[in-house]
Amino acid sequence: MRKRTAKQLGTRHDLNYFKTWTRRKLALALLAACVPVLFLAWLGVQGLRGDSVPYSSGKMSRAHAVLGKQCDTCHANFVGTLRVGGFRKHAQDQACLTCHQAPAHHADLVTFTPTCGSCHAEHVGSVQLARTADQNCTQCHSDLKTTHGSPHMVNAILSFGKQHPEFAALKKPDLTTIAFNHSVHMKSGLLGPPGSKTRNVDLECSDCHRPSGEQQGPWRFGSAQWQHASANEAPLGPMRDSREALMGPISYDKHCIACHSLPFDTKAAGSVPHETPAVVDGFVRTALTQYLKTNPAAWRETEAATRRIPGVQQVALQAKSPDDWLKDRVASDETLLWGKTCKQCHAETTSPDAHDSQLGLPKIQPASMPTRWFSHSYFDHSAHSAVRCDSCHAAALTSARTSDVLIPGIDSCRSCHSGASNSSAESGCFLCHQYHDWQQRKPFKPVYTIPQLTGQAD
Amino acid sequence: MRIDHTHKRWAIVTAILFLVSLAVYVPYSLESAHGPSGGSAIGIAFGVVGYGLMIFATLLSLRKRFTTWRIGRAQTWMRGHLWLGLLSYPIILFHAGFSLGGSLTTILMILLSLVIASGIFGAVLQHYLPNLITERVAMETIYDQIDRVRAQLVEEADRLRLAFSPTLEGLLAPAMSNERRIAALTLKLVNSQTRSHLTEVYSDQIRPYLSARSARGSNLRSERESKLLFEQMRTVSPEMLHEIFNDLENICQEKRDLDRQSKYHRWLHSWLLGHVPLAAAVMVLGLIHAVVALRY
Repeated sequence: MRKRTAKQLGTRHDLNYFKTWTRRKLALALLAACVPVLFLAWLGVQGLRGDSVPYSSGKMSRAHAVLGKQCDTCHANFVGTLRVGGFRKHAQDQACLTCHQAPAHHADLVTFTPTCGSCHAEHVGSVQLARTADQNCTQCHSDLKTTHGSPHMVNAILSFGKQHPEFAALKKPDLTTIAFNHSVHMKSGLLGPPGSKTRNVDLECSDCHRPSGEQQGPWRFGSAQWQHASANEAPLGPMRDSREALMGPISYDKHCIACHSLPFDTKAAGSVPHETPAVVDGFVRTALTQYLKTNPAAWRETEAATRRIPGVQQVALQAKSPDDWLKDRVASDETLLWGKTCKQCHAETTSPDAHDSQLGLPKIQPASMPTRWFSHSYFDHSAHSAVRCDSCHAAALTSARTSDVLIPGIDSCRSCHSGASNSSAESGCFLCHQYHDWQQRKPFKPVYTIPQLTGQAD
Repeated sequence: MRIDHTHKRWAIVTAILFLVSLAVYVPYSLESAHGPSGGSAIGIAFGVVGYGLMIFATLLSLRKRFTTWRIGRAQTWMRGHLWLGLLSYPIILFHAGFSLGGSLTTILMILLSLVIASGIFGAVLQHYLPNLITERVAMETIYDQIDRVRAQLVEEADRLRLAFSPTLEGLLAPAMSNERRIAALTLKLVNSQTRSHLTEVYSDQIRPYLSARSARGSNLRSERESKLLFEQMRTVSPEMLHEIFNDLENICQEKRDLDRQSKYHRWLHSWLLGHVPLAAAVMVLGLIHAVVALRY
């Protein structure tokens, strides 16, 4: 019987076995040496090719992807505006300013100016570089201090969703001098243009409000010229452009004239032009003179008293001469125009100084109708074209006063742009605000050629 | 190494360090304008700590090389290697801000992931396989000495063979007992056909099986086949030789155990062929990444 004691078993081993290199140990050591060497060889080959891409900290943005292999385009050293070569870990602002304009942000007020890279992070993949993080803005605006001390504006803004002031435009009344009652115009069954026998006009917002790019019409309630697509303005091009973003201005000729014509005298057909009082005055005089030439006996007719202006009783007129008739007739018509027709919408200055000293005509105050309500931010109507107008501008249906500001408040925007990470539309600062003060931009001189940028230059 | 209650303290310390790192990372990540980055102060700190943990994990191989150094028990080093090596992974992810970066850092992250995955796989094997070996390998020996033991088994079998295929030198060999000499001589004189059959079986089947490292195709790899073969040998031979065949059968059984042990040990250690070289590559490329990132 085969017997094996512990001693026998022990003696069959080589006691120094751990000092010897077995095949397994050799294979392990060889692999441990070769695998790193393989990777070093890869880096060496890349180095010989002059390719620094392996050391890049991340993928370039799409905008700069063409510079992917020309690291020194951005990472060169600059002294002032002079490129002196070498390699710099963090790209200097001057490297960005070689290709881009970036006017300073309130240069005389800010306590510090961040570097380009601190807001526009590169090497983080295919991102939109202009889409900067809120923290870049709130690092100052969460507790705003300027070189002049505390600013006059709200100085603690954290985010659009959480802590952002109401829009400035809503904090003061609309100072437009054109009297307009939205609620009246939004009623159903309006009478419509002169001659309409039924009340069948229902105005839509787009009858008056359309983006700047769609101003060529047709406009339902414009002049005959505007009621059909007109060639007066350049037609829309095949590409969308910034004219889609903002609403175009309101004009009498496009939006009001069909219903609100400007008749001036029963003897003369038609309307006065929607022009300055001086032009209107000239038009009235010419029209009546022309009428008198056509009807030489007209000045002898007695004009029955009429009651054309509420509260003003006119007496029957009997002219003594054609000139006298013309003078009285112009005065009567202009009294009607200045006192009622124009005044229905326009504010006229009543002080003596306001009258034209030579013609004795009233002075119409400038309309002062804002074409842009957000003076420091940007809103794109075309991006919101899926939303009904009254969904945001609900007050337009009931507003009776001109002074009502009808842009929606911040809560309306927050319905979608709440700032919640996954369940809301984008609400970053960059969406509405721009950091750079583009009014300060200066003439720019490009320096690169395409081969230099693409790395094909010798 | 089994992951048992002796790992509890290491596991707790690792969990605490992870939670502390997480507590630093989360606010840092939320407050960073462009998200976490390896180049920020906190990102660099995570990188230094993560690489430090990897260096510590690498030192285990040196500890194994210099067994006599009084720098702590090998088991303690192994536990540290296991838990702190594991901790290095989330720390490095925090360092990278869960992004891959450029090609060098992408390769580094892939390699580190493979190192950690192979390490976890190895730890699982090291936890379960030793028990399995103890259960299934009765005559276990030192893995690196298996070839040497197998050669000794061949020698032992050759000596036993002399009993049924004697040579003059064999009969005179001092290792042979008188009883076996008599049995061998009896067989030689009585039945030359049986003797040649047994010799043929030994030369064609038993010895090749014992000498070969893997012995694929040999029917002696199967315990049942082996039993049948030796039963047949006992049937055709005189009873006095049965003990010889019992011993040969026992030697074959030990060889089967060695083969089984080899197989389990290949499982137990083959993952190191991936783990160690990849870890070496991570250390070298990690150093290059650190130098390039900090310098440039």
